[in-house]
Order: sequence, then structure tokens, then C-alpha cells
Amino acid sequence: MSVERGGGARVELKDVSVVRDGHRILDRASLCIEPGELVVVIGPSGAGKSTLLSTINRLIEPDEGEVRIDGEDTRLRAPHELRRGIGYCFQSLGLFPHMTVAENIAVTPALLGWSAQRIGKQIDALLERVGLDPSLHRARMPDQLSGGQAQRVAVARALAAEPRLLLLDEPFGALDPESRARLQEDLAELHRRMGVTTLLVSHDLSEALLLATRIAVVVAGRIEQVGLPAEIVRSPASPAVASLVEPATRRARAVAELERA
Amino acid sequence: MTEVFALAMAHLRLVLIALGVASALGLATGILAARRPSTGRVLLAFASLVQTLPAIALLAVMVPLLAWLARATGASISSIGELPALIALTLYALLPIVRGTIVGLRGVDPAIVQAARAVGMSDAQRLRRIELPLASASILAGLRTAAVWTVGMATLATPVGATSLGNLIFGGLQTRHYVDVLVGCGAAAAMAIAIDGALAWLEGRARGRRAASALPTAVAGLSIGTLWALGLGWTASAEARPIAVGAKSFTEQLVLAEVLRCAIGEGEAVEIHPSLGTTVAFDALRAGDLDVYVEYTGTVWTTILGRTDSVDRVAMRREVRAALERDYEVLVAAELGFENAYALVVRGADQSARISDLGSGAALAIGGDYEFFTREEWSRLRTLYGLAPRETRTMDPSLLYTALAEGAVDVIAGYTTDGRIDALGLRVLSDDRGAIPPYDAIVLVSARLAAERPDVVSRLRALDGTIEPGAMRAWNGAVDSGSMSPREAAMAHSACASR
Repeated sequence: MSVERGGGARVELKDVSVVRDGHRILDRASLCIEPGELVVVIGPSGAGKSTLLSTINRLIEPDEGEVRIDGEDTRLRAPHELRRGIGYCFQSLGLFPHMTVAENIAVTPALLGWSAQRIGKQIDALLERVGLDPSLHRARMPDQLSGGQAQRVAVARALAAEPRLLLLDEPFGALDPESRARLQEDLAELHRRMGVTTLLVSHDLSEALLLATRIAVVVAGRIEQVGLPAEIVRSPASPAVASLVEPATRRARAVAELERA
Repeated sequence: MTEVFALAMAHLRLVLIALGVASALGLATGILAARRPSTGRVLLAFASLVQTLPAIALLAVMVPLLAWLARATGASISSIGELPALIALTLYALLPIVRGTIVGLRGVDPAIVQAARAVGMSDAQRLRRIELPLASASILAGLRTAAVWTVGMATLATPVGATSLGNLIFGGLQTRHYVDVLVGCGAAAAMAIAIDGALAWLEGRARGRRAASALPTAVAGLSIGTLWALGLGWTASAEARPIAVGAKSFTEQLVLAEVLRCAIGEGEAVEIHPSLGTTVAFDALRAGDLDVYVEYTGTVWTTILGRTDSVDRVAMRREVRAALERDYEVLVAAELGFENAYALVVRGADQSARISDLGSGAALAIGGDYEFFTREEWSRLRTLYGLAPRETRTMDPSLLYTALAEGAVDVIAGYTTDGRIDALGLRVLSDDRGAIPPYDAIVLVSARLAAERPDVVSRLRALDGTIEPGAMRAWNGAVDSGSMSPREAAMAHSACASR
């Protein structure tokens, strides 16, 4: 099935800064992501996590530094062409309200000039992959979907053109805990099968610990620490990282004690 | 009925062309304004400014503006007729469309805009596939407002020489054929309701699931309509331009326009532009957009030559003729033989016989037509007689006499040839101090017609001295009482009798 293809891109950020009104909302961020990784970016709200993500597909242009995808500077291509090769999904989804589910998913493949037949097959495959029955959902309008269904459609749209890089900005933020847990599992499964390099922004450490191959901690516009989930929990690099990790570990300890008792 | 249909078609043509152009301009302006807020503010301010002008003033000001432009550039721009009407209608229709576009585009959820960028749409693709469809309900609402305004405002195109349903309304008011007025208003209202209904249907679709198709449907419909309307004009202008006869906004002028039509000759294409103002008609004549109309020496003397002194009738005719030919290249082809002066008129029961009997008139309300109180005659009346009335009221000339007869005003500035003076038992006050200049009716001809059609001009010359004052008053009376149309009244003139 076509959705199985792809593989992952390598992403490098070198000293990327974003300055607004003299204030560095992203400050010399450097990060290297290997093909097929699932890196979760965590940090307090307003730390610059979304900004970091947006510099990669140029929704926000870096004021300093450079971003390379598979070794190529992203500034060498027109932004809209660059974005056609990168899946993107964010908390408010932005499903196009005047288009059906199928039309929403078809946008990027159509922009890339895929044949109608190939697009049709891809829509069915993706809907099944995100757990929606194509015959039931293809022709629905976004306002006829539940929150969880809309979320899944948005993920399907992001995956539609078989990107080698997927950017997810708190995609499950607006969901109830149950749907959220299910979608997290589905995402982990999708990632394993497709091998697409994934960058996920979250403010939820437990989500990060569950999904990430590596975690990047952003505090006040700077990347404070990058490491395996175990490293972040065991040896936080700074007090800021520690205070971010601490509530989650305390909760985990409390649960473990209850189980022991 | 065929005449009403022809007028409705001409009306629809004005509306569709103006709406088509305004939509294209308005959409482009709105998009630009939504993209660049600073430019947008300037454009929106301009559109709002245009909107604050009274519609009829905006229309009227186009005539001298275009005439000036034609002189300044040497281009052949028509200052009278459809062009000034179309420009004014287009400018007027612009604001609601621009505003609807800006509001619609700015109202698109920023998340949807961000998603459109993220899926890889270029700016143009995002505009066409996402933003315009989602803004289309608002844009169509603006277009609806513009359409209803334009249909209504197009009736006011008659006084600048464009044919529209306004011809029925203005003509009917003048000649007191109120059925014409009703038919004109009813047809315009029906047209407005029909266009509004079609656009409302599209707007409904735009708010629902079919947002993507609503705007293209409107654009396609409007384009077809505009092209059809332009096509109508194309076939019309492909024929030789008819001889343009002007008429001002009162009964006598409508009758005289028909007399001119007869004199120009059978087999000549003649188009009558009714309900023009003095300056509109004269400017158009100078520019060659109007070929012939009847003017009055006193009007030329004060309004056009700007003279404040007074001379006798014969001297005035001589000087007016010389000045027009010398300074304005306008030819006086004939002196018709009657005078239609402004005169102060009172009810028959009134004691006064002379204007000086009115005293200062401090207890009186005086009525006048649109021009009278701004004219030189009025300031001369005030200086020479010391008139200082309690109130001056401007109204349509067709209403003046009734207003006087019913006591709404005490004195009116009427016209000496008006049939209603006798019919309503009114009395003309004698101008014992000579404040009001003579108003001999003269036929003015454009330099263009004189150069291109000397045969027509020589036929017009034959009108010299052919209308007695009593005959003119009788014809006016017959039209005003509703027993004859202007055309039927004109049949009594020798130029028409042979036909």
C-alpha cells in the first residue's frame, strides 16, 4: 500500500533565532534529528516550542541561522513548495470548512499533480489508517465530525502526500483524555510502520515519555536539553528542566506507591 | 408598453455595466486592502467619501468634469449620456463591494489561513480556493446592497442624458402623467427585487455547503450580464449617432424638443435627452455631445455670460447671439417668437398687481424651482424691491403652481408661458422696476452640428418666429392638464403638421 512508503528525512537546525520586537522568542536553537526519529519538544507554555516547529516549514522565517532538510537549506525553495513535502498538523486543525473530508485530504496531493485515481486510493487508505470508515466519512463536511474524528482527518491530511517529515503541534491538545490516549497509540503505531521523521510539540511530559525516541526541552526560547526520555528524567541538565520533570515523576512515584501498598 | 420595455432594457444595461465594473474594481480593491491595511485605509476612505455625496450631485458633477477632461486631453469623451452616468453609478456601487470583500477576507479564521499555508498553497491558490470562497457570503451581501442602490440610483441618470426608467419618472412628474411615474417606479422596484433575489439565493448557498461555487456563479452571471449589456450598446453605437436634442426639466421644453424633432426632418435619427439642467445642457452643447436645445436669452445673460446689468429685449437678443458665437462657438439658429420669463405669481384673490406692492414681503413664503434662488434674478429682485421674505422654498417646477394655489406658499417664481397660471386662476405680478431680464426662447446649435449638418441647421433656422406666446401657453396647458402628451401638443406646430 502506498502509505507504507516514504521513510524519514534528516532535519538540522543551526543557531536558529526568531526575534520579535527586540525579544528573542527563539534563541540560537540547534538540533539534529535523524531519519525516522520521533522527537518530542516539551517546555512551559510560551517557551517557543511552536515557533521552533514553524521555522522548519517556514510558517515563521528564522531571523538568524539555518534549517536544512536532508542537507538542503530550506531557503533554497519557495515556501509553498517546501511545505508540500512536509506534513503539518496543529491544535486548531484548520480543516477547510467548505470542503468534504475527502477534499481536505486531497489538497496537497492535488497540488503536487497526483492523478485523480491515485488520490482516491490514498484517501481511502489514509482514512482506514487513522481509523475512520472511508465509505462513511469521505463525503462528510468538517462540521459533521466529532472532535476526535476531526483530529484524525487532520492527521490524515498531514500524511496525505506521503511526507518524509511530519510536524505536529499539540495535535491532541483539545481532546478528552480517552480519545487522546487512543490517538497517541495510533500515532506511535503509524510512526513505527511508516518511518516518517516526526517532530511533536507537547506540554505534557507523560505524552513525551510515551512516544518519544528523544526529547528536546525548550525553556525561554533556548533548547535546554536534548536526550533520551530516561536521561531527561534521571539527570535534568538545569533547574528549569528539573522543575518541568518533577511534577510528572512525583505523580508516577505516588501511583507506584499506591500500587505497592 | 414597448417604450417601457425599451427604457427598462436601457436601465438594466446601465445597472449591469456599472455593477460589472464596480465588482471587478471592488473585488480587486478589497483584496488589496485586506492584504495591505495601510493602502486599504486610503482606498476605503475614498470609497466612503464618494458615498457621502448625494447621488444626484455625483451624477451632475460628472458632466462638467468629463467636459473639462475632454477639453484638457483633446480626447473624444462624451460628457453627457451614458458615460457620466456609468462612472457615477460605478463609483457609488464600489463601497459596499469593497467593504464586503474586506470584512469577508478579514473574517476568515486565522487557523484556516495557517492550514492553507501549511498544506503548500501559494498566496494565489490560498486566495482563490480558501479565502474567497469563505468570504463569498460577505462579498455577495455587499454586491446585493450595491445592486439595489444602483437600480435605484440609475433612475437619476436621466438628468445627465442617459436613458433609464427615470425618463418615465421625471417626464411623468413634469407633465403630470402620474401613471408614468408609477410605472417607472414599479419597474425599477421590480428590477431591484429580482436582482436582489438572485443574489440572495447565491448568498444563501455561500453560507452553506456550496461556498466554493457561489462566488464563481455570481462572477459568471455578472460577466454574462455585463457583456450582454455592452453588446446592446455596441449594436446601438454601430449605427450612426443620432442627433441629440436636449430638454430641460419642464413641460414647455418637452414640447419644444418634439417641435425640434419635427424641424430636424423626417428620416433623421433623433434622440431626446430630457430633464437636463441649464449648465448640464449648455456644457454638453459646447462639448458637442448635445446638438440642439431651446434656451432663453435671460438665462444665457445671467447664468452663462454672468451679466448683472439689464438691457431691453432686442439688445439682449443681439448681444447674446454675438457672445455665444464669439466666446462659446454656439450658434443661435432661431428666435422662436415667444418669451418665457420668470415672473412672480400670486393667487388670483391676492390684492397685489405689481411686485412693488409686496413691500418687503416679510410675512410671505416664496417658492421657486431648483435654480431660481441661486440665480442673478433673485438677487436683483431683492436689491431692487427690498424683498426679504419669511421663507424661500425650493421645489420641483411641476409642484410650484399647485403649492401656490393650495396656499403652501404665497408667491412663486413661475414661468410666464405656463398653462397652469390660467388653469388655476393665478396672476402674474408686473415687474415695475425691471428686475427680471427678458427671456426670449432661442434655438441653440452646437458647432459640431453646424459644421457637419448645415442642412439640418437651415431647417432649424426656419423655426424663427413660428411660435406665438399664446400658442405656447395653450400647448403647455394641454400637456399639464393631462389631455395631451408633449408629442401630441407639438403636432399643432407647422413643422410637425406636414407629417
